[in-house]
Amino acid sequence: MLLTLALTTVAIPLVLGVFLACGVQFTSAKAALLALFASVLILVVYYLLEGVPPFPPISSKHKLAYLLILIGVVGFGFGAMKNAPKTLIALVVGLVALGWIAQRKIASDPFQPELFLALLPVLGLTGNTALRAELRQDLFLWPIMTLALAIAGAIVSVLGGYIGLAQMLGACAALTGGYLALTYLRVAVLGKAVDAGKAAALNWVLLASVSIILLSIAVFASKLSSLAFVLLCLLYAIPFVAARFAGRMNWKAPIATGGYAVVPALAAIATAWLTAA
Amino acid sequence: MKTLTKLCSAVSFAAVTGFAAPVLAADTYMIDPAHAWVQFSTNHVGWANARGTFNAVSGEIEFDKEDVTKSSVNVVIEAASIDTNLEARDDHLRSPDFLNAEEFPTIEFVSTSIEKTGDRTGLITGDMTLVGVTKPVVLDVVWNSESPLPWNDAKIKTGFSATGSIDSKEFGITKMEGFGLGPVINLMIDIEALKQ
Repeated sequence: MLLTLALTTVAIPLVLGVFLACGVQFTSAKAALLALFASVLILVVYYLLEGVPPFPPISSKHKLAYLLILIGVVGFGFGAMKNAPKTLIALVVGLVALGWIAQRKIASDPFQPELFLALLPVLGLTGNTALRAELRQDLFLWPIMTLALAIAGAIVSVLGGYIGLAQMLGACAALTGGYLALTYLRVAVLGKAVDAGKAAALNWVLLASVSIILLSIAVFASKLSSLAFVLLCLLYAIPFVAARFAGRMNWKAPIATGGYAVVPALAAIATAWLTAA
Repeated sequence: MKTLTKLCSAVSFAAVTGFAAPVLAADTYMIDPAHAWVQFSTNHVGWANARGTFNAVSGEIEFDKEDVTKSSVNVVIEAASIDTNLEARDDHLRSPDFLNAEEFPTIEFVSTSIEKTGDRTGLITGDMTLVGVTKPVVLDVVWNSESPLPWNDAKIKTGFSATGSIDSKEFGITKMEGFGLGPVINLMIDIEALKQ
């Protein structure tokens, strides 16, 4: 049981992340295709943890799988079309996801506090999609933020009573970690040149996928600490506060960005821990 | 003559629609929530049977003692009322990993057919709706007894015991195995109901 858990939540996603980095580093695949590839890998992770969802979907967890597909399609579009209204599309995708996932809750009472909490990842994703091109196209800003969101989000979710999606976030963290590790090694340490622009769409897919999972956790984790979740969502500000590191291909810049990410992540985990204790 | 024709028509209509038939044999009973126990057990990694109960049960029984096959049962259980003697575990069981109590607040059983197997025993087949999925389930039922309340002769209470089992996978609860549980969930039900 533990071996299966370690394989599906850590080992396999980590290897998939390395594959993704190889796709960026060693192939001539275009941004759109890489975004689609990232989406397929996240769906593989979903399948490993949750199985094949029924169609039409019955529960919010099933809907999540179809939203991950939607994110892949949108990411493909972002990679293929330079002048798409990306911010507006990201906002619409986020709101559609919230509306669909929380459909039954909204129908019973649209003013429940957790629904407002679930807006934070939507706004975080939208705000990041609106970033200027040099920040969006940086190889490390979004992936480091995504990694921190996924790790801290997984712990906050476990302590909030929703273990299933905590596993999903843990697996997304492993995938992003594998992708980031190889990218860091080749680009920041070995100094190999990479067209950073072609990773922007796939980085958006990773961030958007984690954001939709976080949204779902905000809606359904029965013992979620609201304060911990708010602190967690401060991570969406990382590209803004670490903007000066954008485009710097040295070994220190990603570590410094990670340093910024550690603060809200640890604050969120500590708050969730204290609330659960 | 016209009056006689109208009367004949009325009698014929009543006969066809059943209005002229004797009073229905089935009695209506409401489940007594304070005396209803819906318990379950499921294998836990082969070590033991994990057990729990639902604390909020309601429903209605149409009980035809002359012909039990004409009876019917409708039971509603509040999913969030699960109790396994550990609050943290109950919270997880209420989450979308298991009962998904926020999205699907009730578990329902509606009988579709009843087969008499003995003087006081029968098999009730019905549709169980759990986490939004409806599947047929068969319950092995014993009618225990019926008598007035000791302190109020006017109120009649009847009682049943039932057992059955469901496969959690059939209802799409895929996380059971990941936590070393199930997949079969055994049901042990004891219900008292007041005649209306």
